[in-house]
Amino acid sequence: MTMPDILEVDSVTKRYSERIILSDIYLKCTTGDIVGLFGRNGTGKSTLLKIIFGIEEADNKFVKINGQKLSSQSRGFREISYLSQDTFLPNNITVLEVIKLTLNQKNVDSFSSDAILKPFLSNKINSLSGGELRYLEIKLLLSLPSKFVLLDEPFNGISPLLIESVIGLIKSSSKSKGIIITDHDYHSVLNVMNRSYLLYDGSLKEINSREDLVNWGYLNAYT
Amino acid sequence: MHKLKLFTVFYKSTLTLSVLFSITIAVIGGGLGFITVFGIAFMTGGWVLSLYYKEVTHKNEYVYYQNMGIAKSTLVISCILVNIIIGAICIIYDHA
Repeated sequence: MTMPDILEVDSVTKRYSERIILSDIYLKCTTGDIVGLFGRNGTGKSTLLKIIFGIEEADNKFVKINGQKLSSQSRGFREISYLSQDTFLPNNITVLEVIKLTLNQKNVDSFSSDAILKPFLSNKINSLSGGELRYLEIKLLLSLPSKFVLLDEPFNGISPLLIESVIGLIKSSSKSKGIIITDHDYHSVLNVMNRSYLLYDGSLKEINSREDLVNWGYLNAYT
Repeated sequence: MHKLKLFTVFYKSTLTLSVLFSITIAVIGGGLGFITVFGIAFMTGGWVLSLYYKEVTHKNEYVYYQNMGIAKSTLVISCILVNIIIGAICIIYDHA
């Protein structure tokens, strides 16, 4: 049995002007984990994911994989993949072209045979609906060789049937990857995650049940 | 080789605006010769305009290349260098 890979994020501090968004955050994710990250709008969830990925500066941070600090941005990009809230695929090429550009040749055929994507392979990226595009982006990122994937609002704007497919992709990928998800669709996140935290007042609070989310004021008791 | 393909896709996405801008400048102010002015515009304002347009309208596309292991700074610097080289070739060709 192989040892799991470990992503550790330590001492993350971020402030905008005088407002502290993230205060000494520690987060650990191992391959096999699906970590849910909840929080109200503006609490810094997306900022935290961007800091981990390496595209947002922090006042202080340590991002380590298997105990080794990520010394360069390019190493971080190889080890960690990141789904941003906004669509990011180059929109001047077709779906099949972006699949070929992203994946090894040996994986292209199996990827392209996906029943959801097959009808759109020759379409330009900018002609896909929001849900189709989100599904393609998530599936591509989960197919990359990176050990960890950060998903910022993966369920946003996609239909219930596609959400089920995305949950299936995330669950099957978590066998070999560590995944951190943040999304306001807490039903779907609770359905897929095996650990979760709430970002509250700049700190991470461990969440063990739906009641914890109510107690911290993230959910209404009658929601 | 794979990174070259990725850069080519990125560069092509900036090319239309660069070329249109440079042709326009060459038509308007072609006193030094069309190709020379095209080259000067391509190696200066062409990349500035196309990268600015990318920043304003498709900034998030950089996330794709970052996921593929290429930093934004690498893409931007490579794009500028290619434009400078093509612009210089135009100028040298026109004066050869």
